[in-house]
Amino acid sequence: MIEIKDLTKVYRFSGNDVEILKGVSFSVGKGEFLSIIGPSGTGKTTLMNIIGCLDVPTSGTYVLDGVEIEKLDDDKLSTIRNEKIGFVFQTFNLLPRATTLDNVELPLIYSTKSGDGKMAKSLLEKVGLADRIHYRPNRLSGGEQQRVAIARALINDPAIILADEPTGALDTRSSLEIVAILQKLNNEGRTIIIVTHEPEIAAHTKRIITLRDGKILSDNLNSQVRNAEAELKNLPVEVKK
Amino acid sequence: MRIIKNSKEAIKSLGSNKLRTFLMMLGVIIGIATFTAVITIGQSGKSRVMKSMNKMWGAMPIAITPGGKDFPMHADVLSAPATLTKEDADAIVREVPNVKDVCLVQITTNVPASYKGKNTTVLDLIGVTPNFETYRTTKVISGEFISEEDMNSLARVCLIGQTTSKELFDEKNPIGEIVSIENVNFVVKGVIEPKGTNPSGRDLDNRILIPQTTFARRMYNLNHLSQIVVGLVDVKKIEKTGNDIAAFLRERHNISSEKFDDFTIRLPSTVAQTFTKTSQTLTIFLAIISLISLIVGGVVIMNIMLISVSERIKEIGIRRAVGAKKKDILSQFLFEASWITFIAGIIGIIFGIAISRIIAFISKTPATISLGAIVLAFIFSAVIGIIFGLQPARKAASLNPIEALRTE
Repeated sequence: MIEIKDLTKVYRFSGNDVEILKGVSFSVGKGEFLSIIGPSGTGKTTLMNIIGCLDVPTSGTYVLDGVEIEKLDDDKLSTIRNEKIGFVFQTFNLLPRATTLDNVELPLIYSTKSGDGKMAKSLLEKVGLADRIHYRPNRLSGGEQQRVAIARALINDPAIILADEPTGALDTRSSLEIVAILQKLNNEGRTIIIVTHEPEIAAHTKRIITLRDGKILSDNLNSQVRNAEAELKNLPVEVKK
Repeated sequence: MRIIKNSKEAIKSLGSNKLRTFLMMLGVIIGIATFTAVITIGQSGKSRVMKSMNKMWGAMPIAITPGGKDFPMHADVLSAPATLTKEDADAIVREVPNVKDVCLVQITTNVPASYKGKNTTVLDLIGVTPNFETYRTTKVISGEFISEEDMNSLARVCLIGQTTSKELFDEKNPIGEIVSIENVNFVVKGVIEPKGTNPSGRDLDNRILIPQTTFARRMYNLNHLSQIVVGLVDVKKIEKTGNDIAAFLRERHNISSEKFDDFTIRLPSTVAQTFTKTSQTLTIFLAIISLISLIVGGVVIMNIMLISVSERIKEIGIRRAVGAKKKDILSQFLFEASWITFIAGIIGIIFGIAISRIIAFISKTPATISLGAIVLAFIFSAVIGIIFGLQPARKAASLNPIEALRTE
């Protein structure tokens, strides 16, 4: 699914070249559930931008679903983002003036398909928001907004789901709910990559890559995958004030 | 179709921020409305001139007035150059081919008149020959027109216009009453039909007509004329006859070739041209002003859109992340500008037509809605939208998606 080899990325900051990624290689197979962790400033976001086709590497190769990404121009990268990648962001990134339904169908505007509402509705049902179809984001809680974002990420049936700190802005319960949804999607066969600095979240994924100073420090299978669904049940019941 | 989707997104976006949309439209609405109104009013002005020319110059004669072209056609005989005489007129009838007859006109302005202690100032006191009735289309609605007999006997009879009649007699029938004009008593012989105003706004109903002979010999002792109206045998030869008369008068007045005429030949077409030219110049001037306001409207759109692009950087980032190409962003923002000017154009045209209707109603003239003006206004608003939308749209499209997403 993903084949990354000797990936480097160099940025120019006030005249100086700074190497953010210093030769990163790994591959991801179909149906994997992977997290990339590491403290901030280790190149996580840069790596994630390259995987997400928002950025191109300085050198190295990146093959996504059989396409050599590093050779593509801006238009083709846009098409790849549209067709093969489902983004989930820390700050949700929904359009504030659009309804839930319109937000979920947003990627369809830039694809050859067109939205008839059916697909979006069934996805919203899947993330438990069937009754929020005509809400605008400001009427939804953080967790609900992130679930809308997940539905949006799924609308084009992408090759991978790419989640950047998906629980960074959420409380414990909402975080677990989001992770539970991602685990469920993975069980259905979705390839998912989470970028996070929280080991707690990474502990729910099947494989953990640790980045340090632009290099892969470790790449291990997680022998004890935690189950978010089960943990949710054990959470103390919220006291409503 | 992708472009249709982008257009729909543009409409959605405009609909979701109505205040911003309205503010952007305002300038274009005002510009287009003014433009449409100005063109429409200009067009109606033109047709109004043609209409009132027909009203006044029924038989399409030639008019000769004293002095050069700079002297007004409607000159007061007391102050105008004394270069045209009855003898000139008689000679023209005798010598110039294609001339049927002449109508002699003497005009003086702001003449005191009174009836039973009621005083007024008559705008025009005009001495006329009987054929004035046809050459200047002056019908009497009651009583009779001035006759040859009145002319021969220097009769103290007069015809009065609607405005004058109202001022002196109110609703009373003035026929047979005695009016004092410059302290000379006249019997009212007839009342002239309402004529309205001429193209320069002069009230054609505030006037008294008396026999030309009475005017010349009994009242003012003047032999020179304000106008000689020349009736033609064949109206189609009007230009040639005009030139013949000019040559004839130059010779008769001994004007050497290097000197200017001391008279002016006025053909109905040139008179109409003078009037339409003035209104045309004004129309063009006003149209240019409204175009400038349209451009200002475009600048307003550009400004608000530039601000809106910086406000919507995040939105642009999101759209780019989920697959929008640069040209998608470009076309969405271009569509926003175009839709705004398109809709504002329609509203502006409706307002413009309404304004010209109202002005037409107030000034009691028909408003000619010109299709050309509407099409032109439409094209202008479309061009404005694209020109002034392009820069903000380019700016939006050129944003780096990663940085755009990072913006809060």
